Amino acid sequence: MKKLILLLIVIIGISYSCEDFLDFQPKTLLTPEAALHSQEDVVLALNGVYSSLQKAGYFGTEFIIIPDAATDNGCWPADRESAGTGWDRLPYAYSLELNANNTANEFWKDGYFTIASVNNILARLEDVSFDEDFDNRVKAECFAIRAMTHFDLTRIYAQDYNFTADQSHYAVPYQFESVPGTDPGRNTMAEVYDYAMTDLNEAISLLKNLDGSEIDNFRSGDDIFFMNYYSAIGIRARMYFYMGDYDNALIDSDEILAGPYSLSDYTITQKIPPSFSDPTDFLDEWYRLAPIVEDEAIFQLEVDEDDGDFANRSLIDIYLANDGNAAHGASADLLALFEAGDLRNNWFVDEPATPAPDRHVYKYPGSLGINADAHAIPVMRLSEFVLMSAECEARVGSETRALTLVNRITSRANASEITSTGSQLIEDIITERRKELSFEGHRLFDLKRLQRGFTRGADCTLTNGNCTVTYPTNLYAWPIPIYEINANPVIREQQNPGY
Amino acid sequence: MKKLLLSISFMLLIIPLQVMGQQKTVTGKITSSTDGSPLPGVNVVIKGTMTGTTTNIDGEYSITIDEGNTLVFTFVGYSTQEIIVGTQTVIDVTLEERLEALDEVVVIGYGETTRKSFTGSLSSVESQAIENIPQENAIKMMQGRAAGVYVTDADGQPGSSASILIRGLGTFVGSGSPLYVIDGIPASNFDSFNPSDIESITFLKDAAATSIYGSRASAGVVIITTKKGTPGKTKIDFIAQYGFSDIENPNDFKLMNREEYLEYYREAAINAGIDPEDPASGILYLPLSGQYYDTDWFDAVTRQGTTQNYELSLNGGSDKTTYFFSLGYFDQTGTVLGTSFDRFTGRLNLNHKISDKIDFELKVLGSVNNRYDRRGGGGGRSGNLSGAYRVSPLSSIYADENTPFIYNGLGFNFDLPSNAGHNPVAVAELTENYLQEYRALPSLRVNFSPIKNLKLWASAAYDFIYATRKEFMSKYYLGETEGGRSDQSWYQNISSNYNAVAEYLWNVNPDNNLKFLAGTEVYKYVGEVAEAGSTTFGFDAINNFAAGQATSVGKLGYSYNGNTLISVFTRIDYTYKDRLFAHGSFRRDGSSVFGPGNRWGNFYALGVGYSLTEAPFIESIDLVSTLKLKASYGIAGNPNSGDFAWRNTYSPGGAYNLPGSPNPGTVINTPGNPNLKWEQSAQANAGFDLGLLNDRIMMSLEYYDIRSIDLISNRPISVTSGYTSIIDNIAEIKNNGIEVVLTTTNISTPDFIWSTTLNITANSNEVVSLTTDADTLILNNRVAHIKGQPAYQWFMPTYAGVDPATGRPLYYTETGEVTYDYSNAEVKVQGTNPNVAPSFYGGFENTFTYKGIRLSGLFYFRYGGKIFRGLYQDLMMSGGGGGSNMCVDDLERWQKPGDITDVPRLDATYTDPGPSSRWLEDASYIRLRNLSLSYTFPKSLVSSIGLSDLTLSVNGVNIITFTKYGGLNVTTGAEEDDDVYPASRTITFGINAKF
Repeated sequence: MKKLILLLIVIIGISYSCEDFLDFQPKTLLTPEAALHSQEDVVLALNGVYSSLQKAGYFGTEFIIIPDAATDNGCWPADRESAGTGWDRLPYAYSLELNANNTANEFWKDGYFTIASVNNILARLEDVSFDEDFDNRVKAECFAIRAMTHFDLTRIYAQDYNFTADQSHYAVPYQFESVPGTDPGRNTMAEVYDYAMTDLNEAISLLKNLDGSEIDNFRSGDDIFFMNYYSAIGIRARMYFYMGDYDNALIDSDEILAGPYSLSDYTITQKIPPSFSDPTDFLDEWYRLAPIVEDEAIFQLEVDEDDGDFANRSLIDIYLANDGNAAHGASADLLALFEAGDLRNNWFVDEPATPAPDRHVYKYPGSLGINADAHAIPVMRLSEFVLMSAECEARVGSETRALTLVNRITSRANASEITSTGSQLIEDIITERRKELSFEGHRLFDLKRLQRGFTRGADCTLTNGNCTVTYPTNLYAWPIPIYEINANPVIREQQNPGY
Repeated sequence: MKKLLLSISFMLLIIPLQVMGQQKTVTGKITSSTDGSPLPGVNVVIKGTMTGTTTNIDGEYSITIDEGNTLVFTFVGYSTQEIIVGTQTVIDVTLEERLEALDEVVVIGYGETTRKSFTGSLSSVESQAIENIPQENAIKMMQGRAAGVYVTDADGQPGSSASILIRGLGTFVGSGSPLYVIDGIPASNFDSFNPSDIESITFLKDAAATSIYGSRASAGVVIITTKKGTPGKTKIDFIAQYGFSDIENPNDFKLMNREEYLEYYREAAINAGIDPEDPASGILYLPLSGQYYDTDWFDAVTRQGTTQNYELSLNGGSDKTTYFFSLGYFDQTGTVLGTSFDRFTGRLNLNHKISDKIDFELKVLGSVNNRYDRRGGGGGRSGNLSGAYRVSPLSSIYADENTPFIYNGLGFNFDLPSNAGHNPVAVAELTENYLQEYRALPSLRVNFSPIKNLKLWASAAYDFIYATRKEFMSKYYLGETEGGRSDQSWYQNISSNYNAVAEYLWNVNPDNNLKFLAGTEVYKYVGEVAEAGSTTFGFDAINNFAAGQATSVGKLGYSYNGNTLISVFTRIDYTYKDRLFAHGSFRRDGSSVFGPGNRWGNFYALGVGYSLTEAPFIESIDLVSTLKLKASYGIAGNPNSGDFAWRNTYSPGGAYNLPGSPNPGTVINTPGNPNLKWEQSAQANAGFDLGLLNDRIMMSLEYYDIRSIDLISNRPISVTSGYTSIIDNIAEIKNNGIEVVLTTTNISTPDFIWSTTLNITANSNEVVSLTTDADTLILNNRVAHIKGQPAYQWFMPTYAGVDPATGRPLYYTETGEVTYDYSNAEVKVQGTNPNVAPSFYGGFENTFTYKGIRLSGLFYFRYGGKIFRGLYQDLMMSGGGGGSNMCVDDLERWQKPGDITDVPRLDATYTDPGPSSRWLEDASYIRLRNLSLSYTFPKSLVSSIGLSDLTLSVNGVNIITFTKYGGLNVTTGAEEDDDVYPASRTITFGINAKF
């Protein structure tokens, strides 16, 4: 019997070393334990989360291009370059020939990638704690990003908040944890807003007492490139605004106005590079690498095609292209809204080229060739909240203050003062918003929020009937991508109508 | 428990005892019946034991044996003889050259056996069959030689790998390649082997044969055994071969010349309302009065290839030490400009007996390969061949006085309409795609027989592969906008393998014999690749990865892979009266490629065979000389999931780099799947071997049924998890088929022998379930997996020919009507990939010998399946090719109402709407794969000049091919494209001298 025990011990000993031998570790990949071992590791993962916001589906391309191209702001340049079969750059965004196969199919993936990355960090912080302030700071940024990403997904894939009176229409699945192999269904709009508000309130209450120093030892860069108290407030303000809760939107928006931001000046001192054929001056505050409009930047990203996964698909490629043959441009109607002398005309280049004049978007020229495909994306800047407060005041508060606020925007741009009252004032503020925030990813969502359709101007040459869109429309809730429909039997039954 | 242990010990003690008895020494000499010469190296074994000896240089042996026991004399190529030892002390034996096919000794996993006693399925090819074939790779030589073994020699590129599929495709990951075992050691491939060093290649095909290799065996096992030295005078063998290769073009595939091109594009222009006489028509400005070159680009890019091969081997030794030493040099230039392969190999196989009980075997291979590949297409840059097919014949190869300076790249003309930069001669001259590979494969095995009937051995082996690759494009190549480009990579793959095995023979009684084998094995593989590249070179000649002067950093890459495996295995063979054979094997493998809960897998097989040859009712039939039945069932595995696929991983990356502030990051990478486990293949096999007329006619037939379940595949999952797919065991494929081998000696006289071998395999492949619950999984616009059909079906619209009224192409709709609208056509199954599921394939070989003359020819045939001609589609653009050259077949176009043709009307604005059955062609073919004619001078003649043997030979590969397929390489992968290297016919002349 002793021998038998000895034999067993030997066998167990051999087996144990076998298990060691069989635990062959990768050298270019990390296990979850190794990836989130220390405070520094957690920040590395958080950097990964921020970089995921720059992906081609999200702020890198799709989420920024679609809201303008899909409305009366957008137009196809007459000399538009499709960059070859299978390489066309978001043609559907303008034509609105939407289908589950190839429209906005990166955003769904990249959005949920961001959410899964955030959830991984949050799950880790459930298990370990490093330093209370540090943990709270990381958690708060994660909560804010999780709320923002879900909210942004509803902006594309769901109808507007008040589409149904009780917000019972489908939004997107709200993922508090990301478990591969599960098949979540779509939450209602009410649920998504409820969950996102919970995340945001948690983030805001944590961030209120944290100034960023808790994490600064582990990362570098200007505060505007990371989620902070005001950016979390900004997301909440947007949500109240979309809900039509103008009182609460005003409170949040005003808190930002009272924050450490001031409107950037718009100035022209730089001349265009000599090699550039079409003489235009650019606004100093926009014609540069990140940060742009620095004084008013609340949350900003810098996108560099070299870092990303989107060759020929950066905003610079799509709006400027290598030789001016851009894939998307600005509509004549939008440009007609800018008076002569409005400094913001310098965001656009009129090209009298054959076969027809084109209006190219030069809002993000980057450094124009010095770093060819790098530019900033102003995710949130003060102007948006100046205009939000103005609209809220015009609707539920003081018209006087509304006028003061909106004219901070007009006067900076060297445009005529707005003097209207009543519903005309609200309209004028909305128009000013369309002008100031053009090509920053707002127009479609503003139209949805306002429950309005749109009519494109004479430069719309589409023959598919999408030059005019009347609210309500299936074109305001984009199809859930086919890969999700195929893989997820629950969502398969919940596709948006019309697709 | 104690009792059990005791009884086992007791048995172990008595077994050796029972053979003790009256001992004496027997000596004798073994000679060959053919010429009476002494046979060294004959195994002399006491029947029912493992005790034995081998004959010395003079064919003599000496052994101690009990009276009444039986001596068994075995020697490869000769019939086994058994003699009962009586009172005599000298036993001389004359061995007959083998007549009975089933007595042949065959190599199996961890041992050897005879065909007769083997219950599984195998095919083996001996060295004689592949002698002198002018190919560099033994795998390529296997085509048509073994039933159930499908060899694809897809590529005419010298030095390219060939692939083997044994008994059909049973996996969705990887190519379904078998496991290669070289002299007992698992190795990744044997591309760097000199085929002449190989003694035999055995293909293990069913679970009874393979499951001893467990988790890696589901796709079959290929066992390669290299030559050993034989005791005796040193034999020197020298081989020299030289020959030529030409592109084989069985159905006269042709591109347009100047006149055809002009006629074609002028008509296309006019039909599109474009005036070819108008200079504003651009590419289609093709005035009849114009001055044009008439360049045959294909001819310019191809050439006659050469093959040369030199080998020297030494073979000899003493009773104690034997050796085989060889050196080889193979050099082949390809039929496409700029391609070549050369290889230097050296091998030493050394056996040494330290004592009667201990001996060792040392085997070392060293080789260096140099390969210049053609450039593949892709990445916006053309390969060596794409321009050959497409550049207009009106253009010149070299720049002339009219070539604008900016289109003159080092004397080459880059001023080519529609395809600027695709001058294929310039691609060959100004680019490089070079691979150099060093390989060393040393192994050492020690054998120890401490007591009678017990044999122990242990071995250690390593496989080292170091290689460098360089892809370079000169700055003078004008398609290259980056000022030259150079990408280099370095890789090293190192495997190590250790095993220890014990084999014990238990002769229970004269009728019942048992053989036990048990062993353990440890394997480790590590592969690393480093890459670097850059662009913008100042000097063309200084073009390493660091010499580029581009401002942005070029490519840098590193990858790391590896896996480990630990195994225990056992096998029991039972023999009753040399008639009934039973076999059982079991292996337990632990592998690093699965998570802790699923690391260990069990694999087993059972087999039974029954020889009826000695049964009275068979013996009474004179016609039947051999009859054996066999059947087996077992489970083998496939771990081919990727080394780290089960792991949930993060990867470094996702840096959040801000102006002036680098912030490195990590990102989630794969979801992993800790439940991932082995693919399992349940294999059943049944068959018989039948010999007629004293085995002059041998036939064997086997039926097999293979269910491959738990197949590993990426299963799409809800993307709301952050991942798009997860690796999982989901799909299922089944294969079943019949293999028939017929070997006959048609004429056998002392001077003239004619023998024939025919093998045919019919395999049916079927996808049983897919990665999703859907019945169809569309892979691209041509290929889909469909439940109930073979994997990789062609799936596209059906072409209905050309409308005789309009000349426009038509397709069939779902209702069977014809339509011009391609998007409205019914997408349906159009046929099978011939490399997944040909209806049947096989080989037919005839060998004639008359005195010193030997003629042998092997036909290889494949029936069924279709090739998708993507290249042809590109060369049949009905005028819409924008000035690209086209295939002459496109001139068979519709020209006027009433014309009946398959080729649409020419129109410069035409675009082919997409894949359809129009581009599928029958992949069946018969090819005279090898033809060899040799003359061996009479020994009496050559011995006077000091030679023991002298043979002159002419050898050929791909002599002639019969097929309906119109392209240049019918053995291609199932999709034809620019990169398919045309098949070539090679003929070499050789001399083989033995000293």
